Amino acid sequence: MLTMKNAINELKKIIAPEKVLTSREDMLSYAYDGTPLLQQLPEAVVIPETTEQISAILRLANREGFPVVPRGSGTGLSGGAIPVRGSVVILMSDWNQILEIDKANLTAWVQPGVRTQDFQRAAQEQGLFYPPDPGSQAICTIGGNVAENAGGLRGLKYGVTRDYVMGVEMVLPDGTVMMNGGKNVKNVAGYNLRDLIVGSEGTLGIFTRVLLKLIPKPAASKTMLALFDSLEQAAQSVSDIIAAHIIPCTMEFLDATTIRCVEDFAHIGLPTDAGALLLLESDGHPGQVADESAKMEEILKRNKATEIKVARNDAEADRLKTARRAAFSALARIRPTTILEDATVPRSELARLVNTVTGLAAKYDLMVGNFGHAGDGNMHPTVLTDERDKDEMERVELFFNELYEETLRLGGTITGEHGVGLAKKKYLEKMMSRPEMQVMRSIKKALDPNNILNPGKIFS
Amino acid sequence: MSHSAYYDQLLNCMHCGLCLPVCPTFSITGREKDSPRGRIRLMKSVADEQMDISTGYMEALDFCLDCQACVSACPAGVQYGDLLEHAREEIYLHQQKEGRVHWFKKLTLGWLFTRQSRLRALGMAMAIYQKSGLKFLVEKSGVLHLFPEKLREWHRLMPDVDMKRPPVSVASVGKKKKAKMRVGIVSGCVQDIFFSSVNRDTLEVLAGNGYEVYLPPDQNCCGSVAGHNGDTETARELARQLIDTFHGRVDQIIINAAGCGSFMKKYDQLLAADSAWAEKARWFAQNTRDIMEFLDENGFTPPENALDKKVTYHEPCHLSHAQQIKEAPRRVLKQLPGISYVELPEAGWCCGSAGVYNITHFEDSMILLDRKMKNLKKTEADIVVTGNPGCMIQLAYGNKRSAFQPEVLHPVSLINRLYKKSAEGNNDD
Repeated sequence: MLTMKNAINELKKIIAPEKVLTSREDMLSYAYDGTPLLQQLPEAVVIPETTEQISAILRLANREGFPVVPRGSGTGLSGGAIPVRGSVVILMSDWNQILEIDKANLTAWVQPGVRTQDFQRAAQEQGLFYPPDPGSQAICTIGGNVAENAGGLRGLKYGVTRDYVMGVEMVLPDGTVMMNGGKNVKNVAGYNLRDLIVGSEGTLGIFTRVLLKLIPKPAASKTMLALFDSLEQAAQSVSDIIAAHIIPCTMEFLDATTIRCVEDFAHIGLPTDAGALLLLESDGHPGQVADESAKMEEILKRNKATEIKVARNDAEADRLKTARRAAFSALARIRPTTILEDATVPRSELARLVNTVTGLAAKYDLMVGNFGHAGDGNMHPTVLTDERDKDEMERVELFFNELYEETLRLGGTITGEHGVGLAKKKYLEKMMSRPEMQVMRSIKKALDPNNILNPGKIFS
Repeated sequence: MSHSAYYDQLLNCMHCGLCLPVCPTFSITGREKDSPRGRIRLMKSVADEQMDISTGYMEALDFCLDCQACVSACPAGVQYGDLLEHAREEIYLHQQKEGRVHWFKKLTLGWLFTRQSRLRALGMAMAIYQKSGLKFLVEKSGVLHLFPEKLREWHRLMPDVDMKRPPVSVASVGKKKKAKMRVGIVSGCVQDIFFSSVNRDTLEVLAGNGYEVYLPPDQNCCGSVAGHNGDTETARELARQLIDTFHGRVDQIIINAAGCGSFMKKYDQLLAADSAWAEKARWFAQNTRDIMEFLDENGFTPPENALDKKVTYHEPCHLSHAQQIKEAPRRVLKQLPGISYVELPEAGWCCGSAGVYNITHFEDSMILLDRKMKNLKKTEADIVVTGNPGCMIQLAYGNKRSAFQPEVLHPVSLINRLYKKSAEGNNDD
């Protein structure tokens, strides 16, 4: 085996030397992603320009035994892009071209480094719609979204990234280039590899091109904000809306702490004494939107909403949604360390999950902000703490352990949209059965026998 | 900022990455160390002693425009401007200890900008060069081709010196019993040399609106040039001088340069540890107003005559992001009769001026300027207004590079133009 220094020299033979970064400053600034508390310096960061180069890097990694970690914009929340010890990071954010928007088939070929919001806008210019909209959409990349199977505010009605991936070209861990999928709406030839690739968290391959599905842009939409005195009233409204067989595009929940932080940042006139709020959006045919939002308003009023505000235009609706997307980061205003989780339960159990969070926060004497995608049972309870306070950090650990036990007891999952990565690895085995874990490990072993691609993520 | 406050602020960054898409330098290189999130991580690494104050670290911080677009974008409220200033001070002290402060920095920060008389002498020399025909000769003779291209570009960048300074003997205008308020004007250092007409317009607009105006002739730089470059001691001394000039003499202090305003509003932080000056500094910071902010807060007499022009507004970073004054200038402009206001795409995106960035990082600065000019073209505006001398110099230079050439004005000059037009009763501009 070569030493790392020699391996870096080999890398410089594969790609231009100035695309191989090794300075202390560069290594420190690629040591993290959006995940709190975790960091690890890589040995080098490389910026490939061709698929062949990626393939050659992976072959070298197999030969010399160094790990490789793919990275987009580094906004992930489970540690998927955090380097592992002795690794080389492959930076894909320069691969930012939209290659084709096919209006006849309603599909688009994009490079993995395209920013989600840029792609949404490009689709919109063609009268088309790409629904997945994670909180970091202004900067996160399609490649990262596919790797993590990212969700967003519109997941309730439109689903998540997986529902929009039709094909992927990728470099497998051994350097083989594989194309899977295509523009066929229906296709049952062979195993459904797509569903294995989406959400593989950078452990099964590095994407070089992604084929995405587009849908027609809804003709109308209406966004509204409902304020409540209590959490229960908001949670009950969500259950009642679903029970009335209404599936709005968006149904987002914010608790009192989150409302205050968001208002402090965005100044959009949220009452800082509200106990909870729901942000709702109905979209589709104008008639359907009118009907659906009237029914929702009725339910909100029945649950004693203290105020219902309707956005007057698209710009105002956008401001509300942008403010909601900033919720997680805005919570960092209160305490230096912000640890966010991704507990998800069947929708009928939402009220119970919300109450569990409140109860556990009191039990462990922690400050917790809670918000999330109420409509799909996906909450982001966020502990506001200080990593320097060892005693408090121990209580944080106990809080999350108990929260996840309760989530699983309610039939929920440890992660709805952020992925397992490093952050939730230890909870995965509690959730999955032994055969499930074994199948996952066999797949990883079959595709990556030397365990060089993003090793130690999802499971060890 | 104390070291512990600095460290707390560093920890407030939860590295979510929402600052990346608004950062101009990140847009140029796409490298994490050229983003606010990356720079904060480097500052933290130095604070944690994981890294020395290396050449690479200094370059990374030097590459930052200090436009603070990231401050507007940051949901967590991280005060990046304060962090950068503290980090640059650390670098300056480190270089001083090592005896490695660049001679040009010493000359400009420690000597040239500490006395306005020195800057004026330089301004006078430049004016003679420009007005005597020597500049014309140099340009036409082709002698510039003997110099590197960069120097030639700088030569073109240099704006004309504005010799029509407000009458220096006037210490107080509009003194009357019924004056609404007594306000002081900070004449600035760069503004005083290149745009003294902006100071004159500020004075006339305020006096015309019934304020008693105090404009002392011998003011020095506010200290922002030194402060933004890490020389905090010099900045403190200049701040004390400026506070002394106005304290006890005026109700409010008016500034028409965004870069100065953002620095003056933080005099309280700058002099917090100086017991003799802390109280006065707090007063000064609380009572400083940008001219557009002041007119928006207190209202102004609308000019009688209309100006049939399309006007757009470029946000100075140090007004929009550092002082969070975004809507006030727009509200004021929209009150001007006859004007059709058109919004500039990416109005809050830095023009690349950023102090002396267009000299120290010429190529990168031009990438940003060309982007700005492209956006300006989309507006088809006749006039672009902006409230900072650095931006005005940069946009004027943009006009030399671009086929689309809107007139560049300070908003207060536009207002005064309408007042004067009204006074002349002249309706055909």
